[in-house]
Amino acid sequence: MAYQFSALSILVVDDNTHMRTLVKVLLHSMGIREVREATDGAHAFDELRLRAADIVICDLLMSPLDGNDFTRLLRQAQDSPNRFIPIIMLTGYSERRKVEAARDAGVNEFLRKPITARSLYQRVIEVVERPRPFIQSADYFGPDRRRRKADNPALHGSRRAEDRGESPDIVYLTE
Amino acid sequence: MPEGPVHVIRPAKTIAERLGARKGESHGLDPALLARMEAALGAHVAQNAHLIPAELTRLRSRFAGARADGDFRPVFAASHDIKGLAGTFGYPAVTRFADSLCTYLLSLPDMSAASPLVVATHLDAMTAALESSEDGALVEELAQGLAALVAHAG
Repeated sequence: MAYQFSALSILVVDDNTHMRTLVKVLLHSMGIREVREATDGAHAFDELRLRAADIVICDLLMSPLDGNDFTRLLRQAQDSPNRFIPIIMLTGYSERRKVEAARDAGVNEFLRKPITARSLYQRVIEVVERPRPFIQSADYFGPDRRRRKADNPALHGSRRAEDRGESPDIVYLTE
Repeated sequence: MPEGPVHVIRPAKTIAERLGARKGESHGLDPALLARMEAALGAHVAQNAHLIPAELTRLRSRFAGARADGDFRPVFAASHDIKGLAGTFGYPAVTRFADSLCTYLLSLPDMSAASPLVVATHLDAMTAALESSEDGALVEELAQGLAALVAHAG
């Protein structure tokens, strides 16, 4: 049986109305009925406090609260409506430092602009079929940054201590 | 190495289960659904053929403002929007030139130091790509010209 995407609720966050509309058109064509919009990170945070969503698709470059600030807020704030919500980051940037900064903020997936039907569909499927466990350490809370390093050309060569299996004390929990 | 314990937290219920999948089951991309998405995108692009020309007009307006007040940040924002949209609307060369303009502006210690000639030439290149329906030879010629101009300005 194929996925019943009609059950999904997605929040699209972008300060550009044309980009929000484009993403909405594609999500609706997948059968997703509930697609809500926000124009920046602060608006999105308020929107999620009002009503839950399953996935956030968020632009990186926004003002006053950009995509990374918004992601950190969702992951770390005491009053966050959902610290575990999957975040797909829309970005026109491909430089490694931008990708790493977003990853370190707690982003799950990247969707590079210009977007296509296939690229958006693939990212939604990634979130659905390969959900990452979350990591809580002294300096990070967010999806496991190790698992998909090889899938991201911008991150090739990155060898953090935890990538080498040197995490000192791993405790497995359930949400 | 992080200090203290590292907790690995597994979500209690996955989105896949909510969407009707059994545990461990995966479907991948459904070709029929992908075709529907591409058809919807095609229809949206056709209905909004005016969008990229309108965004270029907005960029020109921002450039006029920047020439008057020296603030090129609105030019960067408008170019960044075009970079993100034009490729999806069938203008990959416009995206390429908008990307070049964004990269140039970001390379400056201060955007107020932007060369009006470099910005204007990028705008002309985007317009030429649009009006020529992205003629391949013209696009390459324009790209080489822009690269030389940016190198000279730098």
